[in-house]
Amino acid sequence: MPLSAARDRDGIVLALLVLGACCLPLVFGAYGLRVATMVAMYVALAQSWNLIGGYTGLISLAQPAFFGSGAIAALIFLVNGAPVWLAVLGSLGVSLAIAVMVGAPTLRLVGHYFVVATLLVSEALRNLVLNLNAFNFNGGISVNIVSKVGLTALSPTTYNQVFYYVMLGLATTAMLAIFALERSKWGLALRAIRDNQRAASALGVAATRLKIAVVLASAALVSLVGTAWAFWIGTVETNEAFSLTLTFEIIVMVFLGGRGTLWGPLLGVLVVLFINETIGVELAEITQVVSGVIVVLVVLLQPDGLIQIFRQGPRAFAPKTLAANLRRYRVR
Amino acid sequence: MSADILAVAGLAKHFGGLRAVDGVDLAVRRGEIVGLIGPNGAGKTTFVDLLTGSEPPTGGRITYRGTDITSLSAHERSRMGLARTFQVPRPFGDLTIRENVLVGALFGRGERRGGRPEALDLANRCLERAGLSAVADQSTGSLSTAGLKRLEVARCLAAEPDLLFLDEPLGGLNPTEVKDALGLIRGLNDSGITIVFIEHIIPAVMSLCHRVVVLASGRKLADGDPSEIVANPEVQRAYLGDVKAAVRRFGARRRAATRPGGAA
Ligand SMILES: Nc1ncnc2c1ncn2[C@@H]1O[C@H](COP(=O)(O)OP(=O)(O)OP(=O)(O)O)[C@@H](O)[C@H]1O
Ligand SMILES: [Mg+2]
Repeated sequence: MPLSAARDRDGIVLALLVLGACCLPLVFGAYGLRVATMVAMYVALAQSWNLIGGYTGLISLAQPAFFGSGAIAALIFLVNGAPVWLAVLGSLGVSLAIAVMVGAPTLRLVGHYFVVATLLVSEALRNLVLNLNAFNFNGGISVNIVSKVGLTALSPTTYNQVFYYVMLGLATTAMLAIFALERSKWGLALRAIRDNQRAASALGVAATRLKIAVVLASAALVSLVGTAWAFWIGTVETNEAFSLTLTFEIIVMVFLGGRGTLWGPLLGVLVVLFINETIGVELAEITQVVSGVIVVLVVLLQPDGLIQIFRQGPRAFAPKTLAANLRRYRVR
Repeated sequence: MSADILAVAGLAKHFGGLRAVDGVDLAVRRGEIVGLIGPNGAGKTTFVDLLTGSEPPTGGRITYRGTDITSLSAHERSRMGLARTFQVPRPFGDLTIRENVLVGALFGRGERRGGRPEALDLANRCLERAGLSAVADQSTGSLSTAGLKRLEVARCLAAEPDLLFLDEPLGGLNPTEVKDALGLIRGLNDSGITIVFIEHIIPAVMSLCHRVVVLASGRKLADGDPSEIVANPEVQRAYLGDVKAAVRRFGARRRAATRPGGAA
Protein backbone atom coordinates (compact mmCIF):
# COMPACT_ATOMS: atom_id res chain seq x y z
CA MET A 1 0.00 0.00 0.00
CA PRO A 2 1.92 3.03 -1.10
CA LEU A 3 -0.16 5.26 1.12
CA SER A 4 0.47 8.17 -1.17
CA ALA A 5 1.40 8.08 -4.81
CA ALA A 6 4.14 10.70 -4.41
CA ARG A 7 6.23 8.24 -2.43
CA ASP A 8 6.62 5.98 -5.44
CA ARG A 9 9.33 8.31 -6.69
CA ASP A 10 11.35 7.78 -3.49
CA GLY A 11 12.70 4.43 -4.60
CA ILE A 12 14.07 5.80 -7.86
CA VAL A 13 15.62 8.85 -6.19
CA LEU A 14 17.19 6.62 -3.54
CA ALA A 15 18.66 4.25 -6.15
CA LEU A 16 20.12 7.15 -8.13
CA LEU A 17 21.60 8.72 -5.00
CA VAL A 18 23.29 5.48 -3.97
CA LEU A 19 24.57 4.93 -7.49
CA GLY A 20 25.98 8.46 -7.57
CA ALA A 21 27.53 7.99 -4.13
CA CYS A 22 29.25 4.81 -5.33
CA CYS A 23 31.05 6.81 -8.01
CA LEU A 24 32.31 9.54 -5.68
CA PRO A 25 35.75 7.96 -5.01
CA LEU A 26 36.44 8.37 -8.74
CA VAL A 27 36.28 12.14 -8.46
CA PHE A 28 37.05 12.89 -4.81
CA GLY A 29 40.49 13.34 -3.29
CA ALA A 30 41.42 12.32 0.23
CA TYR A 31 39.70 15.29 1.89
CA GLY A 32 36.51 14.96 -0.15
CA LEU A 33 36.33 11.28 0.60
CA ARG A 34 36.80 11.89 4.30
CA VAL A 35 33.86 14.31 4.30
CA ALA A 36 31.76 11.90 2.23
CA THR A 37 32.51 9.09 4.69
CA MET A 38 31.45 11.36 7.52
CA VAL A 39 28.22 12.26 5.71
CA ALA A 40 27.47 8.56 5.24
CA MET A 41 28.18 7.86 8.91
CA TYR A 42 25.94 10.69 10.06
CA VAL A 43 23.16 9.60 7.69
CA ALA A 44 23.31 6.07 9.10
CA LEU A 45 23.20 7.39 12.67
CA ALA A 46 20.50 9.96 11.93
CA GLN A 47 18.23 7.38 10.30
CA SER A 48 18.83 4.95 13.16
CA TRP A 49 17.76 7.64 15.59
CA ASN A 50 14.89 8.60 13.30
CA LEU A 51 13.59 5.03 13.60
CA ILE A 52 13.04 5.63 17.31
CA GLY A 53 12.70 9.39 17.69
CA GLY A 54 10.85 9.99 14.45
CA TYR A 55 8.60 6.97 14.16
CA THR A 56 7.87 6.10 17.79
CA GLY A 57 8.22 9.62 19.21
CA LEU A 58 10.58 8.45 21.96
CA ILE A 59 13.49 10.84 22.52
CA SER A 60 16.22 8.29 23.14
CA LEU A 61 19.64 9.24 24.48
CA ALA A 62 20.78 5.62 24.48
CA GLN A 63 22.54 5.96 21.15
CA PRO A 64 26.01 6.52 22.72
CA ALA A 65 25.56 3.22 24.57
CA PHE A 66 25.10 1.33 21.29
CA PHE A 67 27.71 3.29 19.35
CA GLY A 68 30.26 2.97 22.15
CA SER A 69 29.62 -0.70 22.82
CA GLY A 70 29.91 -1.38 19.08
CA ALA A 71 33.30 0.33 19.02
CA ILE A 72 34.77 -0.83 22.33
CA ALA A 73 33.51 -4.42 22.24
CA ALA A 74 34.96 -4.83 18.73
CA LEU A 75 38.25 -3.50 20.04
CA ILE A 76 38.26 -5.91 22.97
CA PHE A 77 37.56 -8.82 20.65
CA LEU A 78 40.46 -7.75 18.42
CA VAL A 79 43.04 -7.25 21.15
CA ASN A 80 42.21 -10.74 22.34
CA GLY A 81 43.07 -12.16 18.96
CA ALA A 82 39.63 -12.56 17.43
CA PRO A 83 39.36 -12.21 13.64
CA VAL A 84 37.63 -9.13 12.23
CA TRP A 85 34.36 -10.92 11.37
CA LEU A 86 34.06 -12.19 14.94
CA ALA A 87 34.79 -8.71 16.32
CA VAL A 88 32.00 -7.27 14.17
CA LEU A 89 29.43 -9.93 15.07
CA GLY A 90 30.52 -10.14 18.71
CA SER A 91 30.22 -6.41 19.29
CA LEU A 92 26.84 -6.46 17.56
CA GLY A 93 25.77 -9.16 20.00
CA VAL A 94 26.98 -7.13 22.97
CA SER A 95 25.04 -4.04 21.79
CA LEU A 96 21.88 -6.05 21.21
CA ALA A 97 22.16 -7.58 24.68
CA ILE A 98 22.42 -4.06 26.10
CA ALA A 99 19.44 -2.98 23.98
CA VAL A 100 17.32 -5.82 25.36
CA MET A 101 18.31 -5.03 28.94
CA VAL A 102 17.73 -1.31 28.44
CA GLY A 103 14.68 -1.53 26.19
CA ALA A 104 12.51 -3.83 28.26
CA PRO A 105 12.30 -1.58 31.35
CA THR A 106 12.68 1.88 29.75
CA LEU A 107 10.01 1.39 27.09
CA ARG A 108 7.44 1.33 29.87
CA LEU A 109 8.48 4.86 30.79
CA VAL A 110 6.85 7.87 29.20
CA GLY A 111 7.96 11.38 28.33
CA HIS A 112 10.95 12.81 30.14
CA TYR A 113 11.36 9.71 32.31
CA PHE A 114 12.36 7.83 29.19
CA VAL A 115 14.80 10.57 28.15
CA VAL A 116 16.48 10.61 31.55
CA ALA A 117 16.62 6.82 31.84
CA THR A 118 18.31 6.42 28.45
CA LEU A 119 20.75 9.22 29.30
CA LEU A 120 21.66 7.46 32.53
CA VAL A 121 22.26 4.19 30.69
CA SER A 122 24.68 5.86 28.27
CA GLU A 123 26.56 7.68 30.99
CA ALA A 124 26.71 4.64 33.27
CA LEU A 125 28.12 2.53 30.48
CA ARG A 126 30.72 5.19 29.62
CA ASN A 127 31.90 5.27 33.22
CA LEU A 128 31.92 1.52 33.42
CA VAL A 129 34.14 1.24 30.35
CA LEU A 130 36.40 4.10 31.51
CA ASN A 131 37.14 2.12 34.63
CA LEU A 132 37.33 -1.24 32.93
CA ASN A 133 40.70 -2.90 33.18
CA ALA A 134 40.37 -6.48 32.03
CA PHE A 135 40.51 -8.66 28.91
CA ASN A 136 43.83 -6.99 27.91
CA PHE A 137 41.93 -3.70 27.75
CA ASN A 138 42.21 -0.49 29.74
CA GLY A 139 39.32 1.89 29.23
CA GLY A 140 41.30 4.90 30.35
CA ILE A 141 43.87 4.57 27.58
CA SER A 142 43.20 5.19 23.90
CA VAL A 143 44.05 2.23 21.71
CA ASN A 144 45.30 2.14 18.15
CA ILE A 145 42.99 -0.35 16.55
CA VAL A 146 44.49 -0.27 13.06
CA SER A 147 47.71 -1.93 14.07
CA LYS A 148 45.70 -4.77 15.61
CA VAL A 149 44.02 -5.80 12.39
CA GLY A 150 46.86 -5.74 9.94
CA LEU A 151 45.02 -3.01 8.05
CA THR A 152 48.30 -1.09 7.95
CA ALA A 153 49.12 -3.23 4.92
CA LEU A 154 46.56 -1.21 2.90
CA SER A 155 47.61 1.97 1.12
CA PRO A 156 46.01 5.09 2.64
CA THR A 157 43.89 5.56 -0.51
CA THR A 158 42.53 2.03 -0.43
CA TYR A 159 42.03 2.29 3.31
CA ASN A 160 39.91 5.43 2.94
CA GLN A 161 37.94 3.93 0.07
CA VAL A 162 37.19 0.75 2.01
CA PHE A 163 35.71 2.72 4.88
CA TYR A 164 33.82 5.02 2.59
CA TYR A 165 32.05 2.01 1.08
CA VAL A 166 31.47 0.45 4.50
CA MET A 167 29.80 3.62 5.78
CA LEU A 168 27.90 4.05 2.53
CA GLY A 169 26.63 0.50 2.90
CA LEU A 170 25.43 1.23 6.43
CA ALA A 171 23.81 4.51 5.37
CA THR A 172 22.06 2.75 2.51
CA THR A 173 20.83 0.01 4.84
CA ALA A 174 19.44 2.63 7.21
CA MET A 175 17.73 4.53 4.38
CA LEU A 176 16.28 1.26 3.03
CA ALA A 177 15.02 0.35 6.51
CA ILE A 178 13.06 3.61 6.69
CA PHE A 179 11.96 3.23 3.07
CA ALA A 180 10.59 -0.25 3.76
CA LEU A 181 9.04 0.81 7.05
CA GLU A 182 7.11 3.65 5.42
CA ARG A 183 5.57 1.20 3.00
CA SER A 184 4.75 -1.49 5.52
CA LYS A 185 1.88 -1.81 7.91
CA TRP A 186 4.40 -1.51 10.73
CA GLY A 187 5.13 2.06 9.73
CA LEU A 188 1.42 2.83 9.93
CA ALA A 189 1.26 1.13 13.33
CA LEU A 190 4.20 3.15 14.65
CA ARG A 191 2.61 6.42 13.57
CA ALA A 192 -0.61 5.31 15.25
CA ILE A 193 1.25 4.45 18.46
CA ARG A 194 2.98 7.81 18.42
CA ASP A 195 -0.34 9.61 18.19
CA ASN A 196 -2.37 7.50 20.61
CA GLN A 197 -0.96 4.28 21.98
CA ARG A 198 -4.10 3.29 23.91
CA ALA A 199 -6.24 3.48 20.81
CA ALA A 200 -3.63 1.66 18.71
CA SER A 201 -3.47 -1.19 21.25
CA ALA A 202 -7.24 -1.38 21.38
CA LEU A 203 -7.21 -1.89 17.60
CA GLY A 204 -4.83 -4.84 17.80
CA VAL A 205 -1.40 -3.22 17.55
CA ALA A 206 1.14 -4.98 19.81
CA ALA A 207 2.67 -1.64 20.79
CA THR A 208 5.38 -2.67 23.25
CA ARG A 209 6.57 -5.56 21.12
CA LEU A 210 6.77 -3.35 18.06
CA LYS A 211 8.69 -0.66 19.91
CA ILE A 212 11.20 -3.21 21.21
CA ALA A 213 11.71 -4.47 17.66
CA VAL A 214 12.40 -0.93 16.48
CA VAL A 215 14.80 -0.27 19.34
CA LEU A 216 16.70 -3.48 18.50
CA ALA A 217 16.91 -2.64 14.79
CA SER A 218 18.13 0.85 15.60
CA ALA A 219 20.66 -0.41 18.15
CA ALA A 220 22.03 -2.97 15.69
CA LEU A 221 22.65 -0.31 13.05
CA VAL A 222 24.23 2.11 15.50
CA SER A 223 26.46 -0.64 16.86
CA LEU A 224 27.71 -1.52 13.38
CA VAL A 225 28.39 2.16 12.66
CA GLY A 226 30.29 2.36 15.95
CA THR A 227 32.41 -0.63 14.97
CA ALA A 228 33.10 0.80 11.52
CA TRP A 229 33.94 4.18 13.06
CA ALA A 230 36.51 2.56 15.39
CA PHE A 231 38.26 0.89 12.46
CA TRP A 232 38.05 4.06 10.39
CA ILE A 233 39.51 6.58 12.81
CA GLY A 234 42.04 4.03 13.98
CA THR A 235 42.57 5.29 17.50
CA VAL A 236 39.69 4.67 19.90
CA GLU A 237 39.12 6.71 23.01
CA THR A 238 36.38 5.73 25.45
CA ASN A 239 34.97 9.22 25.98
CA GLU A 240 34.72 9.74 22.25
CA ALA A 241 33.09 6.38 21.64
CA PHE A 242 30.38 7.16 24.21
CA SER A 243 30.08 10.81 23.19
CA LEU A 244 26.71 12.36 24.00
CA THR A 245 27.67 15.35 21.87
CA LEU A 246 27.54 13.20 18.77
CA THR A 247 24.04 12.05 19.66
CA PHE A 248 22.87 15.60 20.33
CA GLU A 249 24.25 16.59 16.94
CA ILE A 250 22.36 13.73 15.35
CA ILE A 251 19.12 14.66 17.08
CA VAL A 252 19.45 18.27 15.92
CA MET A 253 19.98 17.05 12.36
CA VAL A 254 16.91 14.84 12.46
CA PHE A 255 14.69 17.59 13.85
CA LEU A 256 16.14 20.15 11.47
CA GLY A 257 15.50 18.03 8.39
CA GLY A 258 12.20 16.55 9.52
CA ARG A 259 11.74 13.63 11.85
CA GLY A 260 9.60 10.69 10.92
CA THR A 261 10.37 11.11 7.23
CA LEU A 262 12.63 9.35 4.72
CA TRP A 263 14.43 12.45 3.38
CA GLY A 264 14.37 14.77 6.39
CA PRO A 265 17.32 13.30 8.31
CA LEU A 266 19.45 13.16 5.13
CA LEU A 267 18.65 16.80 4.51
CA GLY A 268 19.47 17.72 8.10
CA VAL A 269 22.83 15.95 7.91
CA LEU A 270 23.73 17.68 4.66
CA VAL A 271 22.75 21.14 5.91
CA VAL A 272 24.61 20.90 9.23
CA LEU A 273 27.74 19.29 7.78
CA PHE A 274 27.73 21.82 4.94
CA ILE A 275 27.71 24.65 7.45
CA ASN A 276 30.47 23.00 9.49
CA GLU A 277 32.66 22.37 6.46
CA THR A 278 32.24 25.88 5.00
CA ILE A 279 31.73 28.53 7.66
CA GLY A 280 33.19 26.10 10.17
CA VAL A 281 36.51 26.14 8.36
CA GLU A 282 36.71 29.86 7.60
CA LEU A 283 35.09 31.28 10.71
CA ALA A 284 35.29 28.54 13.26
CA GLU A 285 34.23 30.82 16.13
CA ILE A 286 30.84 31.68 14.70
CA THR A 287 29.70 28.32 13.27
CA GLN A 288 28.00 27.42 16.51
CA VAL A 289 26.16 30.73 16.45
CA VAL A 290 25.14 30.34 12.82
CA SER A 291 23.91 26.77 13.17
CA GLY A 292 22.21 27.74 16.43
CA VAL A 293 20.29 30.55 14.77
CA ILE A 294 19.31 28.33 11.85
CA VAL A 295 18.07 25.59 14.15
CA VAL A 296 16.02 28.03 16.21
CA LEU A 297 14.49 29.61 13.10
CA VAL A 298 13.62 26.27 11.58
CA VAL A 299 12.19 24.87 14.80
CA LEU A 300 10.03 27.95 15.25
CA LEU A 301 8.91 28.50 11.66
CA GLN A 302 9.04 24.98 10.19
CA PRO A 303 8.47 22.65 13.13
CA ASP A 304 8.10 19.71 10.74
CA GLY A 305 11.60 20.33 9.43
CA LEU A 306 13.20 21.65 6.26
CA ILE A 307 11.61 18.80 4.33
CA GLN A 308 8.35 20.79 4.51
CA ILE A 309 9.91 23.36 2.18
CA PHE A 310 10.43 20.64 -0.42
CA ARG A 311 6.94 19.32 0.07
CA GLN A 312 5.07 22.60 0.04
CA GLY A 313 7.38 24.70 -2.14
CA PRO A 314 6.95 28.46 -1.84
CA ARG A 315 3.75 27.86 0.12
CA ALA A 316 5.97 26.90 3.08
CA PHE A 317 7.07 30.53 3.31
CA ALA A 318 3.62 32.07 2.99
CA PRO A 319 3.01 34.38 5.97
CA LYS A 320 -0.15 32.43 6.75
CA THR A 321 1.74 29.12 6.94
CA LEU A 322 4.51 30.63 9.05
CA ALA A 323 2.02 32.21 11.41
CA ALA A 324 0.14 28.92 11.74
CA ASN A 325 3.42 27.12 12.50
CA LEU A 326 4.29 29.66 15.18
CA ARG A 327 0.84 29.30 16.72
CA ARG A 328 1.56 25.62 17.33
CA TYR A 329 3.74 26.80 20.20
CA ARG A 330 0.92 28.65 21.89
CA VAL A 331 0.52 27.39 25.42
CA ARG A 332 -3.03 26.33 26.03
CA MET B 1 -21.19 -22.86 24.16
CA SER B 2 -23.31 -20.78 26.49
CA ALA B 3 -25.40 -17.86 25.28
CA ASP B 4 -23.19 -15.49 27.24
CA ILE B 5 -20.50 -13.84 25.13
CA LEU B 6 -19.02 -12.13 28.17
CA ALA B 7 -19.04 -13.07 31.85
CA VAL B 8 -17.52 -10.79 34.46
CA ALA B 9 -17.04 -11.87 38.08
CA GLY B 10 -16.02 -9.65 40.98
CA LEU B 11 -14.21 -7.18 38.72
CA ALA B 12 -12.44 -4.42 40.64
CA LYS B 13 -10.15 -1.50 40.01
CA HIS B 14 -8.73 0.62 42.80
CA PHE B 15 -6.85 3.86 42.22
CA GLY B 16 -5.07 4.25 45.53
CA GLY B 17 -7.91 4.43 48.02
CA LEU B 18 -10.56 5.09 45.37
CA ARG B 19 -12.62 2.09 44.35
CA ALA B 20 -13.48 3.11 40.79
CA VAL B 21 -14.86 -0.36 40.06
CA ASP B 22 -15.77 -2.29 43.17
CA GLY B 23 -16.57 -5.94 42.57
CA VAL B 24 -18.92 -5.98 39.58
CA ASP B 25 -20.58 -9.13 38.20
CA LEU B 26 -22.09 -8.99 34.75
CA ALA B 27 -23.17 -11.33 31.98
CA VAL B 28 -23.69 -10.16 28.42
CA ARG B 29 -25.71 -12.37 26.09
CA ARG B 30 -24.75 -12.83 22.48
CA GLY B 31 -26.56 -10.38 20.22
CA GLU B 32 -28.00 -8.02 22.81
CA ILE B 33 -27.52 -4.31 23.36
CA VAL B 34 -26.79 -3.65 27.00
CA GLY B 35 -27.05 -0.10 28.27
CA LEU B 36 -24.57 0.91 30.94
CA ILE B 37 -25.64 4.01 32.82
CA GLY B 38 -24.65 5.78 35.99
CA PRO B 39 -23.75 9.22 37.29
CA ASN B 40 -20.45 10.92 36.42
CA GLY B 41 -17.56 9.12 38.06
CA ALA B 42 -19.59 5.93 38.54
CA GLY B 43 -16.80 3.88 36.98
CA LYS B 44 -18.32 3.16 33.55
CA THR B 45 -15.28 4.13 31.51
CA THR B 46 -12.95 2.39 33.94
CA PHE B 47 -15.11 -0.75 33.64
CA VAL B 48 -14.66 -0.69 29.85
CA ASP B 49 -10.92 -0.06 30.28
CA LEU B 50 -10.74 -3.25 32.34
CA LEU B 51 -12.82 -5.32 29.92
CA THR B 52 -10.81 -4.30 26.86
CA GLY B 53 -7.41 -4.52 28.55
CA SER B 54 -6.59 -0.82 28.52
CA GLU B 55 -6.08 -1.06 32.29
CA PRO B 56 -5.15 -4.08 34.43
CA PRO B 57 -7.79 -4.94 37.05
CA THR B 58 -7.10 -4.99 40.78
CA GLY B 59 -9.18 -8.15 41.06
CA GLY B 60 -11.84 -10.31 39.44
CA ARG B 61 -12.20 -12.43 36.35
CA ILE B 62 -13.28 -11.77 32.77
CA THR B 63 -14.44 -14.61 30.56
CA TYR B 64 -15.03 -13.99 26.87
CA ARG B 65 -16.63 -16.73 24.77
CA GLY B 66 -15.65 -19.24 27.42
CA THR B 67 -11.97 -18.16 27.60
CA ASP B 68 -10.44 -16.43 30.60
CA ILE B 69 -9.01 -13.22 29.14
CA THR B 70 -8.26 -11.44 32.42
CA SER B 71 -4.52 -11.40 31.89
CA LEU B 72 -4.49 -10.85 28.12
CA SER B 73 -3.26 -7.54 26.75
CA ALA B 74 -5.42 -5.06 24.86
CA HIS B 75 -4.15 -6.08 21.42
CA GLU B 76 -4.74 -9.76 22.10
CA ARG B 77 -8.32 -9.04 23.13
CA SER B 78 -8.81 -6.93 20.04
CA ARG B 79 -7.72 -9.82 17.87
CA MET B 80 -10.29 -12.01 19.63
CA GLY B 81 -13.09 -9.67 18.63
CA LEU B 82 -13.37 -7.09 21.41
CA ALA B 83 -13.45 -3.44 20.41
CA ARG B 84 -14.18 -0.14 22.07
CA THR B 85 -14.65 3.51 21.25
CA PHE B 86 -13.22 6.17 23.52
CA GLN B 87 -15.35 8.68 25.39
CA VAL B 88 -13.05 11.50 24.25
CA PRO B 89 -12.25 10.76 20.60
CA ARG B 90 -8.56 11.17 19.90
CA PRO B 91 -7.84 10.04 16.35
CA PHE B 92 -4.38 9.26 15.01
CA GLY B 93 -3.76 12.87 14.02
CA ASP B 94 -0.89 12.19 11.62
CA LEU B 95 -2.96 9.73 9.65
CA THR B 96 -5.74 10.43 7.17
CA ILE B 97 -9.23 9.27 8.04
CA ARG B 98 -8.82 6.22 5.80
CA GLU B 99 -5.46 5.36 7.36
CA ASN B 100 -7.02 5.63 10.81
CA VAL B 101 -9.51 2.93 9.84
CA LEU B 102 -6.82 0.92 8.07
CA VAL B 103 -5.04 0.44 11.40
CA GLY B 104 -8.03 -1.54 12.66
CA ALA B 105 -8.27 -3.50 9.40
CA LEU B 106 -4.57 -4.43 9.35
CA PHE B 107 -4.10 -5.24 13.02
CA GLY B 108 -7.48 -6.18 14.43
CA ARG B 109 -9.08 -9.53 13.82
CA GLY B 110 -7.83 -9.81 10.26
CA GLU B 111 -4.22 -9.47 11.44
CA ARG B 112 -3.01 -12.86 10.31
CA ARG B 113 -5.52 -13.50 7.58
CA GLY B 114 -5.69 -10.70 5.10
CA GLY B 115 -3.34 -9.15 2.62
CA ARG B 116 -3.17 -5.44 1.99
CA PRO B 117 -5.88 -5.21 -0.68
CA GLU B 118 -8.30 -7.08 1.58
CA ALA B 119 -7.55 -4.74 4.47
CA LEU B 120 -8.02 -1.68 2.30
CA ASP B 121 -11.27 -3.09 1.02
CA LEU B 122 -12.48 -3.76 4.55
CA ALA B 123 -11.47 -0.26 5.66
CA ASN B 124 -13.39 1.25 2.76
CA ARG B 125 -16.51 -0.72 3.63
CA CYS B 126 -16.29 0.45 7.24
CA LEU B 127 -15.86 4.06 6.12
CA GLU B 128 -18.90 3.67 3.91
CA ARG B 129 -20.95 2.25 6.75
CA ALA B 130 -19.97 5.11 9.05
CA GLY B 131 -20.72 7.64 6.34
CA LEU B 132 -17.13 8.83 6.02
CA SER B 133 -16.33 7.71 2.45
CA ALA B 134 -16.55 11.21 1.01
CA VAL B 135 -13.94 12.60 3.40
CA ALA B 136 -11.76 9.48 3.71
CA ASP B 137 -8.60 11.07 2.35
CA GLN B 138 -8.82 14.20 4.44
CA SER B 139 -6.97 14.80 7.66
CA THR B 140 -8.81 14.10 10.90
CA GLY B 141 -8.53 17.77 11.79
CA SER B 142 -11.39 18.50 9.41
CA LEU B 143 -13.88 16.36 11.36
CA SER B 144 -16.66 17.72 13.57
CA THR B 145 -17.54 16.09 16.89
CA ALA B 146 -20.04 13.88 15.09
CA GLY B 147 -17.42 12.98 12.50
CA LEU B 148 -14.90 12.07 15.19
CA LYS B 149 -17.45 9.83 16.89
CA ARG B 150 -18.15 8.14 13.55
CA LEU B 151 -14.43 7.63 13.00
CA GLU B 152 -14.19 5.97 16.41
CA VAL B 153 -16.89 3.54 15.32
CA ALA B 154 -15.41 2.99 11.85
CA ARG B 155 -11.99 2.13 13.33
CA CYS B 156 -13.60 -0.42 15.63
CA LEU B 157 -15.63 -1.96 12.83
CA ALA B 158 -12.47 -2.48 10.81
CA ALA B 159 -11.16 -4.64 13.64
CA GLU B 160 -14.22 -6.88 13.02
CA PRO B 161 -15.57 -7.11 16.57
CA ASP B 162 -18.10 -9.54 18.01
CA LEU B 163 -18.49 -7.39 21.09
CA LEU B 164 -18.33 -3.62 20.87
CA PHE B 165 -18.20 -1.13 23.74
CA LEU B 166 -19.44 2.34 22.89
CA ASP B 167 -18.41 4.94 25.47
CA GLU B 168 -20.85 7.85 25.18
CA PRO B 169 -21.12 7.81 21.39
CA LEU B 170 -23.82 10.51 21.47
CA GLY B 171 -21.97 13.02 23.62
CA GLY B 172 -21.93 16.46 22.03
CA LEU B 173 -24.16 15.53 19.08
CA ASN B 174 -27.16 17.57 17.89
CA PRO B 175 -30.62 15.95 17.58
CA THR B 176 -30.24 14.97 13.92
CA GLU B 177 -26.80 13.52 14.55
CA VAL B 178 -28.13 11.59 17.56
CA LYS B 179 -30.83 10.08 15.38
CA ASP B 180 -28.32 9.07 12.70
CA ALA B 181 -25.95 7.61 15.29
CA LEU B 182 -28.74 5.53 16.84
CA GLY B 183 -29.61 4.23 13.37
CA LEU B 184 -25.98 3.27 12.81
CA ILE B 185 -25.74 1.47 16.15
CA ARG B 186 -28.95 -0.45 15.50
CA GLY B 187 -27.57 -1.47 12.13
CA LEU B 188 -24.40 -2.80 13.75
CA ASN B 189 -26.45 -4.85 16.19
CA ASP B 190 -28.62 -6.19 13.34
CA SER B 191 -25.46 -7.39 11.63
CA GLY B 192 -24.67 -9.54 14.67
CA ILE B 193 -22.43 -7.38 16.85
CA THR B 194 -23.16 -7.50 20.58
CA ILE B 195 -23.07 -4.00 22.01
CA VAL B 196 -22.46 -2.45 25.41
CA PHE B 197 -23.69 1.11 25.22
CA ILE B 198 -22.68 3.76 27.75
CA GLU B 199 -24.76 6.90 27.54
CA HIS B 200 -26.16 9.73 29.61
CA ILE B 201 -29.05 10.45 27.24
CA ILE B 202 -31.57 8.22 28.99
CA PRO B 203 -34.33 8.22 26.35
CA ALA B 204 -31.78 6.99 23.81
CA VAL B 205 -30.68 4.23 26.17
CA MET B 206 -34.28 3.20 26.84
CA SER B 207 -35.20 3.05 23.18
CA LEU B 208 -32.09 1.23 22.01
CA CYS B 209 -31.19 -1.25 24.73
CA HIS B 210 -32.58 -4.68 25.44
CA ARG B 211 -31.28 -4.48 28.97
CA VAL B 212 -29.89 -1.77 31.21
CA VAL B 213 -27.23 -2.00 33.93
CA VAL B 214 -26.79 0.81 36.43
CA LEU B 215 -23.43 1.55 38.03
CA ALA B 216 -22.97 3.90 40.97
CA SER B 217 -19.74 4.43 42.90
CA GLY B 218 -18.16 1.42 41.23
CA ARG B 219 -20.96 -0.97 42.20
CA LYS B 220 -23.79 -2.50 40.22
CA LEU B 221 -26.98 -0.92 41.47
CA ALA B 222 -29.49 -2.54 39.14
CA ASP B 223 -29.72 -4.81 36.11
CA GLY B 224 -32.90 -5.40 34.13
CA ASP B 225 -35.39 -4.39 31.42
CA PRO B 226 -35.35 -0.70 30.50
CA SER B 227 -38.89 -0.29 31.90
CA GLU B 228 -37.90 -1.94 35.19
CA ILE B 229 -34.90 0.31 35.51
CA VAL B 230 -36.85 3.53 34.97
CA ALA B 231 -39.32 2.44 37.59
CA ASN B 232 -36.68 1.37 40.12
CA PRO B 233 -36.81 3.90 42.98
CA GLU B 234 -33.20 3.30 43.98
CA VAL B 235 -32.03 4.09 40.44
CA GLN B 236 -34.28 7.14 40.41
CA ARG B 237 -32.56 8.40 43.52
CA ALA B 238 -29.00 7.59 42.50
CA TYR B 239 -29.11 8.63 38.94
CA LEU B 240 -32.23 9.50 37.01
CA GLY B 241 -33.26 12.30 39.32
CA ASP B 242 -29.77 13.57 38.95
CA VAL B 243 -30.12 13.69 35.20
CA LYS B 244 -33.46 15.46 35.33
CA ALA B 245 -31.87 18.10 37.51
CA ALA B 246 -28.92 18.35 35.17
CA VAL B 247 -31.15 18.69 32.15
CA ARG B 248 -32.97 21.55 33.85
CA ARG B 249 -29.66 23.21 34.64
CA PHE B 250 -28.17 22.91 31.17
CA GLY B 251 -31.33 24.31 29.64
CA ALA B 252 -32.92 24.17 26.27
CA ARG B 253 -30.11 22.94 24.07
CA ARG B 254 -29.39 19.85 26.09
CA ARG B 255 -33.12 19.18 26.47
CA ALA B 256 -33.53 19.38 22.72
CA ALA B 257 -30.74 16.85 22.30
CA THR B 258 -32.43 14.46 24.68
CA ARG B 259 -35.95 14.31 23.24
CA PRO B 260 -35.48 13.05 19.69
CA GLY B 261 -33.30 10.26 21.05
CA GLY B 262 -36.36 9.01 22.87
CA ALA B 263 -38.53 9.33 19.81
CA ALA B 264 -36.06 7.58 17.48
N1 LIG C 1 -6.27 6.79 35.96
C1 LIG C 1 -7.00 7.15 37.05
N2 LIG C 1 -6.38 7.46 38.21
C2 LIG C 1 -7.08 7.81 39.30
N3 LIG C 1 -8.43 7.88 39.33
C3 LIG C 1 -9.10 7.58 38.21
C4 LIG C 1 -8.43 7.21 37.00
N4 LIG C 1 -9.36 6.98 36.05
C5 LIG C 1 -10.55 7.20 36.63
N5 LIG C 1 -10.41 7.57 37.92
C6 LIG C 1 -11.50 7.85 38.87
O1 LIG C 1 -12.33 6.72 38.91
C7 LIG C 1 -13.69 7.12 39.02
C8 LIG C 1 -14.48 6.52 37.89
O2 LIG C 1 -14.14 7.21 36.70
P1 LIG C 1 -14.77 6.82 35.29
O3 LIG C 1 -14.13 7.70 34.28
O4 LIG C 1 -14.68 5.38 35.09
O5 LIG C 1 -16.29 7.26 35.48
P2 LIG C 1 -17.45 7.32 34.40
O6 LIG C 1 -18.57 6.55 34.96
O7 LIG C 1 -16.96 6.93 33.08
O8 LIG C 1 -17.79 8.87 34.42
P3 LIG C 1 -18.32 9.83 33.23
O9 LIG C 1 -19.78 9.62 33.11
O10 LIG C 1 -17.99 11.19 33.71
O11 LIG C 1 -17.56 9.47 32.02
C9 LIG C 1 -13.70 8.63 39.05
O12 LIG C 1 -13.77 9.06 40.38
C10 LIG C 1 -12.39 9.00 38.44
O13 LIG C 1 -11.92 10.22 38.93
MG1 LIG D 1 -16.74 7.83 31.29
